[in-house]
Amino acid sequence: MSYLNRAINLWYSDVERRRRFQVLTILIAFAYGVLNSLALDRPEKQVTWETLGVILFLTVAFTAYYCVRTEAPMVRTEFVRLREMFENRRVLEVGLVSVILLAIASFVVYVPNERVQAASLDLRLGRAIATRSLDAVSINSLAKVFNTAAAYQVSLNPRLVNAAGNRLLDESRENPNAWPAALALMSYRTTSNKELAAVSPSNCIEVPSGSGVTLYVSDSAFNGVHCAQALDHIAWTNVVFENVTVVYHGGSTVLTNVQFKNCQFNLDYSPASLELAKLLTASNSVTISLPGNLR
Amino acid sequence: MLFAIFALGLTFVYAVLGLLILLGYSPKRIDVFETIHYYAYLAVFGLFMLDLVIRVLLHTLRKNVIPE
Repeated sequence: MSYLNRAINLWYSDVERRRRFQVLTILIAFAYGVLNSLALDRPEKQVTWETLGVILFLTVAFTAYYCVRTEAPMVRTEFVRLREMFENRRVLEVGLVSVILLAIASFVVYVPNERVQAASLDLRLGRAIATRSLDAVSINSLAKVFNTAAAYQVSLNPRLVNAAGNRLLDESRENPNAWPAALALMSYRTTSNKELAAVSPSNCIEVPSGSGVTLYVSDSAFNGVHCAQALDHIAWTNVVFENVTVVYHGGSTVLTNVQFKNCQFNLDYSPASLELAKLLTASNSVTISLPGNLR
Repeated sequence: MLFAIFALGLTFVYAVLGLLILLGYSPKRIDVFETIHYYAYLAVFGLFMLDLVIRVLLHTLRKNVIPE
């Protein structure tokens, strides 16, 4: 019990030593986080947990040191025994029920708050692109952020999205592992396209066989949750894709004033796909000839 | 009081960062400042929460002694 008395003395009475220790802990933890993140370029999530670990370790170590090395305080505090903590059954029952209900609620009930969620995703996005080079953890984090934003229709900070888009597409040229994150970014971008051209709706169409462009589609809208439309070998003019899985295998295609909304992208990793991705992440309306100039 | 001073300082830095963004300061440098601000916030917040948890735990273990 004398150790508990000393701990009470530290955390309730000995302000001077506690303050000195806390300022030192904040400085050490801050230096650890900044050094690992900026100088060593380590992933933010890992450094965050490590920084919290440093704080916990220093606090426990200092408290233990204080309890062992200092004199017992003059004022002694009475402590409850473990048995006594369970004597008030009503309080115990209410506490247990509250914990169980909160645990169930946290697993089952999703409380969407768009602004809070957007701020949280912006923070994660900012952290992921703050590193000098995009490593596997950052790329994975970016893919998760864009997938979540697309799934819940959360609006991210456009400045961060543009910065992330440039970084991801640059990285994709060298590193195929960044491609899924780039596809997630494209899917997210199409969720924010509000204004679409008014054209008559159509079902998805089959891709014609052969080389080059063999079919011309104009002034149409493709809308279907279970519809997957390949772009290859078709020239698309004034077309709107909505709720469509857009597929591209790197074949010849021409897109003129083509718009996408709430679309998923399944583009093969190829130079032509990279060119298309670059346009998709930059503009609501796409005009491009792939591969090469077909007109 | 210590945490209030730190929180005030971090809020001030947050406002300055917002001002720098409005003034069109280099996004790369702002990202670096934001990282520094984030770890300062994390250190203060982490210690504040731990301080709170330790005090609540110790208080829970105290026995209410009714004076005679």
